[in-house]
Amino acid sequence: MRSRPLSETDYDIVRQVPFLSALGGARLDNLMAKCRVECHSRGEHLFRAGDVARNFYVLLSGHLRLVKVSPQGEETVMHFLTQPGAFAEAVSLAGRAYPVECEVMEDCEIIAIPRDTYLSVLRSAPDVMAEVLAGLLRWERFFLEEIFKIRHTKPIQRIASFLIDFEERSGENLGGEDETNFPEKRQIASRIGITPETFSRSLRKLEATGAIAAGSKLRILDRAVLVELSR
Amino acid sequence: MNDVERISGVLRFANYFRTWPQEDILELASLCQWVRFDTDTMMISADEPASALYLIVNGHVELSFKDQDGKDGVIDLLGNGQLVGECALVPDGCYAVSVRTLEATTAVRIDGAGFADFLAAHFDRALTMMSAMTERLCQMLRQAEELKCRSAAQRLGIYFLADAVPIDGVHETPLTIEKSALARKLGMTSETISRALKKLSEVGVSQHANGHIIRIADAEMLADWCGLSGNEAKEGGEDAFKAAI
Repeated sequence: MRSRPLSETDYDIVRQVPFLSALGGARLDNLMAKCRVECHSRGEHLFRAGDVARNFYVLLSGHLRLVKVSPQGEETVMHFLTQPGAFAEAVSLAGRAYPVECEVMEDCEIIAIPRDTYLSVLRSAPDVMAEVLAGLLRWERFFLEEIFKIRHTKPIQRIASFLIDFEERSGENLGGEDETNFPEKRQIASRIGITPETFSRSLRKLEATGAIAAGSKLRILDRAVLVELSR
Repeated sequence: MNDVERISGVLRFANYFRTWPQEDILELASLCQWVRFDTDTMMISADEPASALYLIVNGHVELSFKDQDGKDGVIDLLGNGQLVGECALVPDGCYAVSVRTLEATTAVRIDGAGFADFLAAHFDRALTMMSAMTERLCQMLRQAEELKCRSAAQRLGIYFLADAVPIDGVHETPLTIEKSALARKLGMTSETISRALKKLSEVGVSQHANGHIIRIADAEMLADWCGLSGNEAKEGGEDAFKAAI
């Protein structure tokens, strides 16, 4: 792992995180002065499930995946992190252990913010607490949507919805043809909670509509059709 | 005993506040009032301005979520001791879910703005509140994982294990909610519940007293069949089981 000081661009990303920007200029500068940008390579782990969450993170670039591993060793992908922003703040600020593994999917740059340092700054700015709670509620909304989708939508809707969301979050849609680099199919199946067999059947149905090409590399061909199928 | 004393008596046993000192409990109680809702009453509605949190004292409520296309569906069923409406702690917050009573329900209403001011003035209490909200997030994470990984029959089996008590060499679970409500809680249809019960009968799970009592012949074998590891089954406890489903 390499590290470097924060650049002004990094600061811009940090200022997009509400519970950090709410600290105000001087406090935020003081906090960031204690942090560096860490560069991690594909395959590395930022943390393991069960590790005490001494840090929370701001993702600057790259892709991460959050994975639950069962006692039998089976992996379930819980989330792909592909956009700049904070993560693991809930478990860290609550002083808990990380509930998932965090693995680097594409080389990434992150800022690790020590929990204790943040809390000592926060103690001097109690009015920021509302922003911290709002951050937790954003994660609650993520899980509400997640549970709703698993319970109440069909596999084909979940696949269509995932592909649209992932493309939007990746921000790599180039011109008329989609160039988004989607995760491996088995990882998508795990992420949206359907068996590989159902996933393959649903992909064939989606391909038959002309919405996607499901060859070795997934591609969105007709976004409007895909949006319709996601509803 | 006045209302504040009675409410503080309830608050101090709630998971969220049980570590709080008495003076803080009393201060919080002064922001609260008793509320009672009839069966099938909307306590809070999604997307409406969030003005209060509710601690359920007695009764069952159903949480439903509406997606961005306007479709809604039940995502959980909560009972005594659960808190809903944390969005009220955030300025200009709106409720993320709708909450409807399944039976006559008594709750403590906590004024959102007053509670937010209290937390801003009591940093350590804010940390415990944050921790309680994070516990809820972790439960939702486990719920999402279980929904992805386990079959309907396995999830129903885990639900029965959560409330099972040993009686005469077997385990029994009283079913205190209607099967239709149970189906909604577990994200299944009534037909799926029936199929899951049939499947569970093959591993020693039987219905008695018109389906109000579930008997488990061998809880250890059922836990194993449901895919719970030895540690999960032994150390999981009721809360962990319930979080799982």
